Amino acid sequence: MKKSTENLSTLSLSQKIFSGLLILLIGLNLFGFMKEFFSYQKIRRFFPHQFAGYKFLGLQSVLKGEPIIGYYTDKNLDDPKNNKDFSQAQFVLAPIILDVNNMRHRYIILDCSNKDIALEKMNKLNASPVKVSSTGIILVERKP
Amino acid sequence: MTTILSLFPFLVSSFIGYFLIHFLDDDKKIPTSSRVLLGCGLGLGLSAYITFFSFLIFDQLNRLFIITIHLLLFLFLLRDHIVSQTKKTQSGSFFKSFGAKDLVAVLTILVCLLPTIYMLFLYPEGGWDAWSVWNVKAKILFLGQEHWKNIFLPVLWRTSPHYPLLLPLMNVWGWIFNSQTGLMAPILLCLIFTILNISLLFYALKDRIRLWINLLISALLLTLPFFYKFAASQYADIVVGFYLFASLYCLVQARMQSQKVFALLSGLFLGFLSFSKNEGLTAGLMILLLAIPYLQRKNSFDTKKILMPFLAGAFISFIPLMIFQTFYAPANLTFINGFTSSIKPTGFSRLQVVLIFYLMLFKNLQWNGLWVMFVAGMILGRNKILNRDMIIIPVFLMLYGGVVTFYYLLNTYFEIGWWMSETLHRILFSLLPTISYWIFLSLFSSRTAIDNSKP
Repeated sequence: MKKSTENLSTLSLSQKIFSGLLILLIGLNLFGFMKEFFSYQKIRRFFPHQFAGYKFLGLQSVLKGEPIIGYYTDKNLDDPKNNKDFSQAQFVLAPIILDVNNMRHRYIILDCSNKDIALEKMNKLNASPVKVSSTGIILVERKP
Repeated sequence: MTTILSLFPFLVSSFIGYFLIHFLDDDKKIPTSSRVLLGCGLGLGLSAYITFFSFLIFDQLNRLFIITIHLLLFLFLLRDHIVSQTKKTQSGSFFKSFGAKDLVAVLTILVCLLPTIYMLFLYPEGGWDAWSVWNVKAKILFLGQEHWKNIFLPVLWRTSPHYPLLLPLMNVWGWIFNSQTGLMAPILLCLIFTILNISLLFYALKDRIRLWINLLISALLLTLPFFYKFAASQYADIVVGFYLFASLYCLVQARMQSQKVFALLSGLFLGFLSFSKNEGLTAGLMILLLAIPYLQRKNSFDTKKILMPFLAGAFISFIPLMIFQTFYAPANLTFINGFTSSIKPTGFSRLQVVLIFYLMLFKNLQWNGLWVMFVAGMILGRNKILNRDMIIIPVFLMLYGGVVTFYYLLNTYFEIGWWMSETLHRILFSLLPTISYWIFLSLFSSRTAIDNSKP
């Protein structure tokens, strides 16, 4: 205790002020973290489901060896939520490249808002479904 | 098992880096702690470069080549290390030099790492740019075989195909003993670079300021919301932060101690910094230019003694970047010159937004008033912050700030509010170890070796 008092007394005024600021800031940081920690804990069980890319996981086995495939969506990719979902899909399916709205590839992923839009697109592309996921993602193959 | 297999390559890199510094440091002037920390960063950078050369030579990932080069390097350097250890009784062996202060530091850093570790568990896939930029590239490099160059395709514009590849290459190296990609290697890299940043800062300040203040600084950064969130985000900014700080720290040491090995290391770290991100490239080139006058001494022999190793290190380390920029990097698809564009011109309102964002830093709760404290530090330490040996840091920071501001005004591709909210904090985060070193050393340094320098 005596040593630390001596330690403090050797500091200049500016150093004392700054040390005080340092301690204050650490206190604020810890208080902020604890607050965040408890709010995170409440919703923690939902976090694993935040990663939308996992709904594309089953498609890899079918697409082995395909370097690039088409990706069609009627959703607005400028919307951050849809953009995020698409980026996560690209991450999960990598090294396969998803070519957005390019319908000339053999395989195309349809990520549509509803089944009717997907069916209409399939007919337009003259394509047949190869894999349909429970989350509404359809992998189609264009007929030659 | 995946954890061990992911950790093992990073351990190998760290040992290679440690032994390499031991090999380069003829006079054994670098303290063991710095040798460990700088060696770890050096080794990881080298591993990324060796992995990159696998793609250049074989046009795909060649595990045999990468592992063989690592093994040969490891054995050669280990042999050198053992020979030099048996020749003379080393006082600097790692365990001998590890004292009570180090133990306190390690324990403090470990405890203060908890927020970062918690974030890593909460978001194991990392933040937005982790999956959409860095890790997706790493996956394509690792699994893409001869199609690895697809990472440069314009359809992947969301992944910024023009960005340098240091971090993805490190991740690829982390997966080298696995058949599949996994989350563990990117998570471990985050942790390793967080520890490196904080520990290097601690040891850079260790002999200059009081232990308890030094520990408070580590605690301050590790508990700062923006620090632990970005540290755990799996973005390249933590890597940029380390190489920027390591490069400047070695440069300051090279000048203060006239040590050529520090100059060489500084040059090498500049290359890694430039290959880590475009911001890193900008910073790297600026430091390269600033270092030439900074390392000048009255005696031209002394100047050559430290300038030549610095330039040699930078030249060697810039080779992968030069190859990447010349033969692979596509044009930046997210760029519009706001000064010439009639569709998206830049203007006073854009400047206003930029300035407002800078002002908002002072009241942003994620920074918790850190920038107010730094400004206070600059005012309180005004007599020391511009001293000759540290001058390169404030000059660099001012110029870098100017370039970043200019780029925000120049490139009008993105809506400025969104762009700044996404990028400004990351840029500042990567500067934190450097700014902390500069301000805390200026303010608390009890022994101003700075003032005793010989110009």
